[in-house]
Amino acid sequence: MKILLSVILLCFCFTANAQIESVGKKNLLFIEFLGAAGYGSINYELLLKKIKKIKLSARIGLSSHKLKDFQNEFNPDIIVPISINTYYGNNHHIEFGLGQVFTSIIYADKVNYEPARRNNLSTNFSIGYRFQKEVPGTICKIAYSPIIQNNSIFTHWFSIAVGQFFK
Amino acid sequence: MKSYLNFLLIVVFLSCEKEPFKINNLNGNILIMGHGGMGVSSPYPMNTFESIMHCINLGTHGTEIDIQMTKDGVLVAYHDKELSSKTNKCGLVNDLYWSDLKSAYYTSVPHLNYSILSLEQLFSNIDNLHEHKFIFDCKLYSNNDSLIFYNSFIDSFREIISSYSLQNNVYFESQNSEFLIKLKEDNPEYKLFIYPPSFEIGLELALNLELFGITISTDQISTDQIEIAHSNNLFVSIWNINSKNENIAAINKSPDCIQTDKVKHLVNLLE
Repeated sequence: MKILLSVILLCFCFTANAQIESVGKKNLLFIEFLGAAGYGSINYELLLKKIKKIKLSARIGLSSHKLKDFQNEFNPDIIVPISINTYYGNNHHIEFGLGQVFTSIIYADKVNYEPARRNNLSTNFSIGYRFQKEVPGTICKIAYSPIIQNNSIFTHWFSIAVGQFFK
Repeated sequence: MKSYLNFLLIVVFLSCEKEPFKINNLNGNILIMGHGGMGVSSPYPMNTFESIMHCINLGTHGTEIDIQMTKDGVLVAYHDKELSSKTNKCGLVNDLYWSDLKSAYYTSVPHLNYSILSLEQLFSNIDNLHEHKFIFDCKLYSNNDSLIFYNSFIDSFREIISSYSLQNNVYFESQNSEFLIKLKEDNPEYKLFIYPPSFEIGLELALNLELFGITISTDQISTDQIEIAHSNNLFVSIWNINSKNENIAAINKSPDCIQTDKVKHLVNLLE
C-alpha cells in the first residue's frame, strides 16, 4: 500500500510541475524478457511528461506462464505488470521504475485440490539503462529489476527489453 | 500431370507418417515417467501437486518424485537439500515438523507461491491412483544418526504404501546402497534401483544386491550397456532428458523407463 501511494505521489509531483513540456502522444511497444512478469511480457508504455532531460512514463503489460491448468483444461494464468518509470538523458538514459504486478494464477485449492485461481500483488522496481532516441525508432533497455513477492520476500531479478517507439 | 501430382501427394503423405520405434527391452514398452512431474523447465516447480497432476493428466504412466522426510516422519516431495534454496523456510526438511512445513511456499521466480506437498496429500487426491506408477527418489538428507533415520524413513514408506495398497505401483531409487539393503530387508518385493556414479559400479551393485535395476543419467549409459543390463535381467531407467531430440535418442536406446523433462513430447512420440 505504501508503495502504491509512493507511485501516485510521484505522478502527482510530475503533473503539478509548471515547467513540464508538452510531449504529445508518444507510445512505446516492447517485449520484455524476464522482468516484472517473471519469464517475460508484452508491454505498452505511454510517455506522460517531459522536463528537460527527465521523462516520465506509465507502462502496462500482459503475460501468461501457461494457458492450460494442471488438469489440461484451458485456464490461463494472467499476469499484468504496471509501473511508473522515470528516465534521464537524451538518447542514452538512466532509468528508474516502480510498480506492481497483478497475478492471477491457477493453483491447486488447498481443500479439494481442484484448480483454483489465486490473485496476488507483488511489488517490483527497476534500475537500469535505456537507449531511446527522441524520434520514433527502436529502443532497448536492460535493468536490474528485483521482485518483492507478496510484498515481503525480495528476489534478485533482471530484465532485457526491445521495442518500438512511435508517435 | 495429374497422375504425377497424385504420386507426389502419396509420397508426401507416406513420408509424414510416424515411423514406429523398435523397442527391445524387458517391458516390451517404455514406461513414460515425468521428472518430478513436468520436469525442470516447466512453469510448475518440480514435485508440486500441480506439476505431478499435469504430468499424469497428459497420459504418462506416472512420475518420479523426490522424497524427503520431516522430523515427525511425514514423507514430502522436495528436491533440494536446503529449503531456503527454493522456499521461504530454512534448514533441512528433516529439521522441521510437517505442521511447520505445510505453510511453506516456493519463492523462486517464476515459481512463486506453490506449496510443498506431502505424499498423503498427493495420493488422497489422485483419481484412479492404481493406474499410475511412482518412482521415489529417496533424498536422505538429515543431521541425525543415519541408522535411526533410515529405519524411520522405511517405516514411513511402509505405512503409506500399505495404506494406499501401492506395492505394485512404486519403485525406489537411491544412491545409498546401505539404504537399499535396508529397504530390501523390510520388504523383499520392493522394486529397487541403484543410482550409481557410473554404469559399471551400478551393474556390480545391482547384481550383488539383487536389485530390480539401475537408474542413471542418459549421458552415462550407452545402448550396448543397456543391453548388458537387460541380459542380466536388470531394468534400466534413464533421466536427464531435457529436449525433444534427447527424448528420441532416449527411446532409441530401448531403456525400460524414461524420466523426461519434455513430458508432452514423449507421450506424443510413444502413444
